[in-house]
Amino acid sequence: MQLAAKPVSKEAQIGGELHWDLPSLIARVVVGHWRDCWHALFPLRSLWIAGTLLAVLLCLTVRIEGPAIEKIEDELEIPEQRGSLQLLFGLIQLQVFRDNAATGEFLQSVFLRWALGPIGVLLSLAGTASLMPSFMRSGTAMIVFTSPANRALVVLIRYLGAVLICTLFAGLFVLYTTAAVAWALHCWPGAGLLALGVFCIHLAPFLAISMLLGVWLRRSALALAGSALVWLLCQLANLTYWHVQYFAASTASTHTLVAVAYWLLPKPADMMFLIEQLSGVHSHFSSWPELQWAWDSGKMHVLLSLLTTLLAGGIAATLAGLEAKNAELP
Amino acid sequence: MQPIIECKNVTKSYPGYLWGSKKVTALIDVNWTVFPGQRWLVTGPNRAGKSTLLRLLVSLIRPDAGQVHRSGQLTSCAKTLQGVGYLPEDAHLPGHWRVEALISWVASLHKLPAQRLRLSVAKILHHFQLKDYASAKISQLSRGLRQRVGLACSLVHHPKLVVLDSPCDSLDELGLSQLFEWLRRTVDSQTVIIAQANALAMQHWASHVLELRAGRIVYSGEAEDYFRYRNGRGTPLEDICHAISREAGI
Repeated sequence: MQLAAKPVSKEAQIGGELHWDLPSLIARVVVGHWRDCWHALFPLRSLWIAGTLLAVLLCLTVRIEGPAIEKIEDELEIPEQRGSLQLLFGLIQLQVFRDNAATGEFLQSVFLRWALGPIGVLLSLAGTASLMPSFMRSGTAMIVFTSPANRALVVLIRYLGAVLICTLFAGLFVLYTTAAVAWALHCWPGAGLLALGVFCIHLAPFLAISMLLGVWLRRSALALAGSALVWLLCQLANLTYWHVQYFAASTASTHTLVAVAYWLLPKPADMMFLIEQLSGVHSHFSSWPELQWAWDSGKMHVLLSLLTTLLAGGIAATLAGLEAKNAELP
Repeated sequence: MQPIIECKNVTKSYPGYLWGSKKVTALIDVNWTVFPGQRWLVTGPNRAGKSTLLRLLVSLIRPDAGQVHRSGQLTSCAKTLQGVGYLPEDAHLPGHWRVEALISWVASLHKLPAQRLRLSVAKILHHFQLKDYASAKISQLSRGLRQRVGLACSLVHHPKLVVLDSPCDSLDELGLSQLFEWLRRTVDSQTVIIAQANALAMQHWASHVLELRAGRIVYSGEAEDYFRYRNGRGTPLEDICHAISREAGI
């Protein structure tokens, strides 16, 4: 065997660079990952943009016909003076007996309830389901996984990027629909942006589960179906907990089991209820009585609920990272 | 001297047809040692296990049995990838990236300091004549140009260990000359491993040859002897193998 003429130090062999500008290096690496995520999340962007355009168009066609009643104390006493709220150039007509501002709030609450609630979450899960499976099959993964970057950290960076992009598009949805309502009805309904933070926390654990399934099974459809199923089960566990608390009619063992499930799992029902409270939806729609009771009686620990939901997301994202660490790219 | 690569009794198989019940064995009991400064050509017919061996070296896959050490550590240690440049076979680079941005990002991933990064990227773009395409999207490039970008990505951070899987594929004469020019410039401390089915293309470059057939090593040793045999002017392959076995005490 022919050997090299010069002995080489260990540091030189591994290409060691002891001095580098760490913050700028981290920034370049993170921005590169997020940029890649942005492109990979084309389905998500398309879905949100389509949804936003539809909602904005709907808002722009809003007209109030008939008597516009200002500052009525008890609306139910004067039903004959109702006007009508027309959407899509009169295609949809709703009886209203509110002023412009209340109508605007009502419209926005409809959007917020669904866009930052179940539809928004499921839409985001559908749009991000392919993020990890397509990454694991792409040339990007080949480049990243043959670099000294920590794979678990890479998954976490991409996960954070996906959460931020989802929140950004949900924010744009809220902003544009609010502006459209304001333009159409000459009033600014907007408290919706406050609910965005809760939407972000609500989405985070399920997105992490989607990424975990994506890294593990490498199938977008399975990642979507799995994360949506987990969301449904968590919703069920969450509501069951408040149901049991409300009726106080269960055995001790059932109570403990339900409580353990509640505290360990993310809490989508709590999150949606918080969004309703923050965005004023509760003044137009009634919530689940159990949740309303928990809120009114002070049994709902908002901070703990948010923190445990975030923690569940963190655990799922860490598991996704560990799975990526052991993943093979054949 | 510490070897830069050491494979000990490495076996690797993939799940095959019938939902993975029938396994396809890609490598069987491979023992191989590479020292710093050597220029290895890994050759063999299709499905011999060349790409699998290279993927094991850069931690993309793990062996079923045996161990692979890189710079004295198991390949599961990501830290030792800092000095490694890898070009995969049929590199499908992310199409939405622009050429210069991708090369810079790869250099960042390999922790190249900002001051050296710009210079290195400029140099590699110049060497592979990619300056005119610096702001072009990868998806807009021809296959040959993409291969050149792949080569630039794998070499931009001045790796100490370069692992190239079929680098000559899709390259035109210019691309090949650029590759060989770069290979000619490699210094003694740089170790290069190239997998190429067509061994003769690398005849004048390689210092050592590893030939695989059906996942087993049939030759591992100096290139001179190997090519003497290949060109029909030297020791028969079997005799070389026996000589190596005797040398290794097998």
